[in-house]
Amino acid sequence: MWGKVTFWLRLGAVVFVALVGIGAFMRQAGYVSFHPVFESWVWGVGLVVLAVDNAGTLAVRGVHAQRLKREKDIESALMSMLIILAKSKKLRFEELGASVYVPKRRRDWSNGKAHRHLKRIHRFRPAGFPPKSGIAWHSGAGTVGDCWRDKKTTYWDGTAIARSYPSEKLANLTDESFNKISTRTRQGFSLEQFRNVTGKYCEIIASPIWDESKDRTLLAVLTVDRALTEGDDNRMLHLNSAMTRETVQSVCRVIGTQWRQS
Amino acid sequence: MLEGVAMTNGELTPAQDEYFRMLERMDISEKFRRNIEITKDELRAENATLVRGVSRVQGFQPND
Repeated sequence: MWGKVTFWLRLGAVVFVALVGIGAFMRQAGYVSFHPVFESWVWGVGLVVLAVDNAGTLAVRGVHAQRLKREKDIESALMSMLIILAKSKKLRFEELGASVYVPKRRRDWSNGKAHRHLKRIHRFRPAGFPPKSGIAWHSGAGTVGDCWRDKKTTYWDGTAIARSYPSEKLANLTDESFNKISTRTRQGFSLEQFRNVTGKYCEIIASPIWDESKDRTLLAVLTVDRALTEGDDNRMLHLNSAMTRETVQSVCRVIGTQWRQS
Repeated sequence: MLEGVAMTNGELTPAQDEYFRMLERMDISEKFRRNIEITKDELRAENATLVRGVSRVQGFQPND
């Protein structure tokens, strides 16, 4: 918000300085003459613009620093969780990733209706792999959407689907054949989204973040995933254990407290 | 001890304890540190009412 205000103020200041410069040049050349009061106004407006711009910049810096500090705290909460999971489950740290999604209202301009979707506000993925899917998550779409809809910790095993739909078979899927796939396997995805997600993740666990003070209002969804790599078919699944669930729920609690107290 | 099972004496479970110990070793703000303490206190209070996943009922007397 403040960033936009200072941007427009600066743009206005540039236009103002340009106009004053042109005016001064025209007066010097004898094309126009200004009343002495006008000069005082020019100085006054110039000083106000300068003062507001500097105050705005300082305010933006302060807000930005606070936001960075809050984001770093949440990142530490996610990183600690992944370190614990990698250590205790003997998983490769770089295969793990964690994200936090919050509900946002978005207006569909084609029909004028507003609908809610889940927007990712934090992402911690040590290796940056797999890349972002670019899917607009909504209730019932994927593990994060299931967790949001059912308001409970949700686990998804992606190995069987990845085995059933190798890349060649995925590429050959048509709308007709896709619609014949069971609803549970499709997970609320469109064909394009299904192609995008299948084969990316080995397993995902999603857990709600509650505001405990407000009659357990659902604030966000935390997800932890493990990338699908060579040989995952023969490996055990790890993110559905009681220990993992308790660790993930501890993260949700501490993030919930952090938001509640800020 | 069973993995992830809440203890009965109002302490953190091994999984919770391990997680918070790791988090407290990170470079975090003082405010977040205070909020971690609040969370731990809340979890301890909740764990005190749990006996391996079932609620302790008021007036319950264990067999001798």
